[in-house]
Amino acid sequence: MGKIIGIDLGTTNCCVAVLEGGTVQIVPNKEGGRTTPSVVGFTDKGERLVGQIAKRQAVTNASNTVYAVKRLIGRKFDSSEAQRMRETAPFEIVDSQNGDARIRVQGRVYSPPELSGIVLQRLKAAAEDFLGEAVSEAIVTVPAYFDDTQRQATKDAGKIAGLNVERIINEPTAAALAYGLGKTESERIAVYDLGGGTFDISILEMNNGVFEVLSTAGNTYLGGEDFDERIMNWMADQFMEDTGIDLRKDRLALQRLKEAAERAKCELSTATETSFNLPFIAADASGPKHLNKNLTRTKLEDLVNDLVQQTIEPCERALSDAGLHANDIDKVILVGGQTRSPIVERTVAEIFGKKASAEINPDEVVAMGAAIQGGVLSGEVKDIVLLDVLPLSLGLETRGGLFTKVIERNSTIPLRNCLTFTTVVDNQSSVEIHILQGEREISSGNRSLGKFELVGIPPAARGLPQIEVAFEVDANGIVSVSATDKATGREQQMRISPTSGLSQDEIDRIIQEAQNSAEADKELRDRLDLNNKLASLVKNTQRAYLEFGGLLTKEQQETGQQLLQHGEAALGSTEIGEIRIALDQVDRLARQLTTAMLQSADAESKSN
Amino acid sequence: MAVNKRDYYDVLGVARGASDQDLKKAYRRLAHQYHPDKNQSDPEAEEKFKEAAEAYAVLSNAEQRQRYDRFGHAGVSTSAAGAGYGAPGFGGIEDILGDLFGFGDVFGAGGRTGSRRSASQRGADLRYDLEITLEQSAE
Repeated sequence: MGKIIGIDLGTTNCCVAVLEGGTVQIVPNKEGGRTTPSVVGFTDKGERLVGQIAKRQAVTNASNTVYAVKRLIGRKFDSSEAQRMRETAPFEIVDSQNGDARIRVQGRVYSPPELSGIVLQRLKAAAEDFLGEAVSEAIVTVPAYFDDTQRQATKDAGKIAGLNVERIINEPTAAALAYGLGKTESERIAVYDLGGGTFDISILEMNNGVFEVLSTAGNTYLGGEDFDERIMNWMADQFMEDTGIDLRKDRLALQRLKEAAERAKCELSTATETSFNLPFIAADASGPKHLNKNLTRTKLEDLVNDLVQQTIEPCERALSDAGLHANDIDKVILVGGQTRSPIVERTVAEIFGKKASAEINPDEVVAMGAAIQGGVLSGEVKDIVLLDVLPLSLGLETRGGLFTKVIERNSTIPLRNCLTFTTVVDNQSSVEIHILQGEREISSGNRSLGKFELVGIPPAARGLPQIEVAFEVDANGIVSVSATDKATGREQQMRISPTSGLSQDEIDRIIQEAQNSAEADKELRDRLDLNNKLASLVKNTQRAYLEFGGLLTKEQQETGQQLLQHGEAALGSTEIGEIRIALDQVDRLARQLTTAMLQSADAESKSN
Repeated sequence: MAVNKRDYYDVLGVARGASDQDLKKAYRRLAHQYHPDKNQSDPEAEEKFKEAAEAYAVLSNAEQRQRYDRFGHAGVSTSAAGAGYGAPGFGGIEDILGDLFGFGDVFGAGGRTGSRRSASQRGADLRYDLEITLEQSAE
């Protein structure tokens, strides 16, 4: 088995880590950054940009630049979350046949796992460059509060990127692993993870290398993006008041507001006041309009206070599910960029009655934990075992649309639980079972995972057949169901129709496409690399030619000038072959020049 | 349902009077030994881990442990009990059969499976496993 890399696939930023020689290292991306923005841009030339370059061109290419896809992964178009995102996203969110939310860019519809897959593919390539070997296995993290559908979709994203997702682990748990590696004392810790799009709280107990998650709670639609949105809306309101123009109707303006909001938010973590200066943000009959405003930290905290307050209830629930009080917690760990806000730090200190530990880097710790878990799976790390839990109860729909729990939330995974079913009419041959996940008493309030039909039940009087249905949750928190006829001991046939996600056929098709575009991406990268080489070679050779061209023979000078012209003309060509030829030619000229220079220097020293 | 299930104390390898601390220690030891992360090629290990986790879940909860001590596996609702008899949903024929559905109350309560059982179901076997010291027996 090769290296298993750890990937924190975040809403706004991703981070990759590997375990090398017993220490965890962050994998830098192509541009040298330790985190990569989760942004994919599609240019009008048909190129796909990922990460920082995609983010940078977002303002000028707003409707073809997709970000925060994680907020849509595994969600229905009708869901309140997808609908909320539609209000502010400059790209187009659309419905699909099975009701899953998808994204349309340049007329093509992408599923969220596909877009996440594009980002993962890039992260994989960065890791391969870093390690100097092929990478095919990864641990990918998800918010602890992700349900089965969202986990499945994340696994699909990995598959699309050509990665075997060896394990899905929960972000707060990963953070705890990275924090606790090498610590021997027994501690109870609370991990408060407020990321770009999601909030998680997990309570763990660490003792002698066993990391036991006692409970977890959260909100999969609460994070830094919502903070940005509050600031954007505030700016738009202010502008509306001053000018009567609604910036929210202009995608380009919206994108500029978003960038400014994000920057202001970060600045206000250390400064107490910041200013916005967005010239030419709009125009009317009287001329161009500019947005110039000051925002104080106090005002910002006013704008986001209720968002931060929303994290309190899950913390209290997690404590109570773990059977603990705030003062039982030894350490509080903050994860996610948003926890840098003073208002968040204060709120956490209030909830747990102590200041959070500052030992770890909130942006990198999750990926580091994932890499450590990779080490556990590959056998490189021996003395650690992670006991995680199922975040949301699992059950089925019963009479009257009620929800009956089969497995309670916060049960340690992997686990298995059985239920016995029978028939209620004579010779009944099938039973339909609807599996759901959630905490609501009413089925429709919970997430539908799928329906299956027990079919081919042998004819018998009602109540006689005993069909044992086993619910199994693996270490990824992913659910599977199987059934056996207890009378015959035979595996009972089942038809499962998942209510969400991609079918195997769809995944296969996307993988094929992804491979094709991986080749295209690689070609593009090679071409750009060669082009850069050519550009600097042409520049240097031109300079050398101007100074020393006179040393060449007349004939050499003529061809030399031609070659330089060719070289310049080939710059920016879309044909890699053309660039390669030009590179060869200019290279030859450069050599001629060097030889001529050496010879003349030689002659000079002799004559002296 | 409760057939062939091993005694939870045996699973964890502790005495019936084991303290919470002992239980925890035993569970951690088994977790290190059998967690699927460490035994990827051995599906039996995963089963053993699940067994240990189930045993620990019950015994680490004071109320459930008491019930288990008095009634054995039948006394605790975790995986052992099942939902009792009665299919919770019927494709297509549900409407016609609505009135025939005699077990609604089992599910209607919305509570934990097995906590309320329909009258037609056979009661749980009662079992008392007691461990007493020689002194206690002489009292």
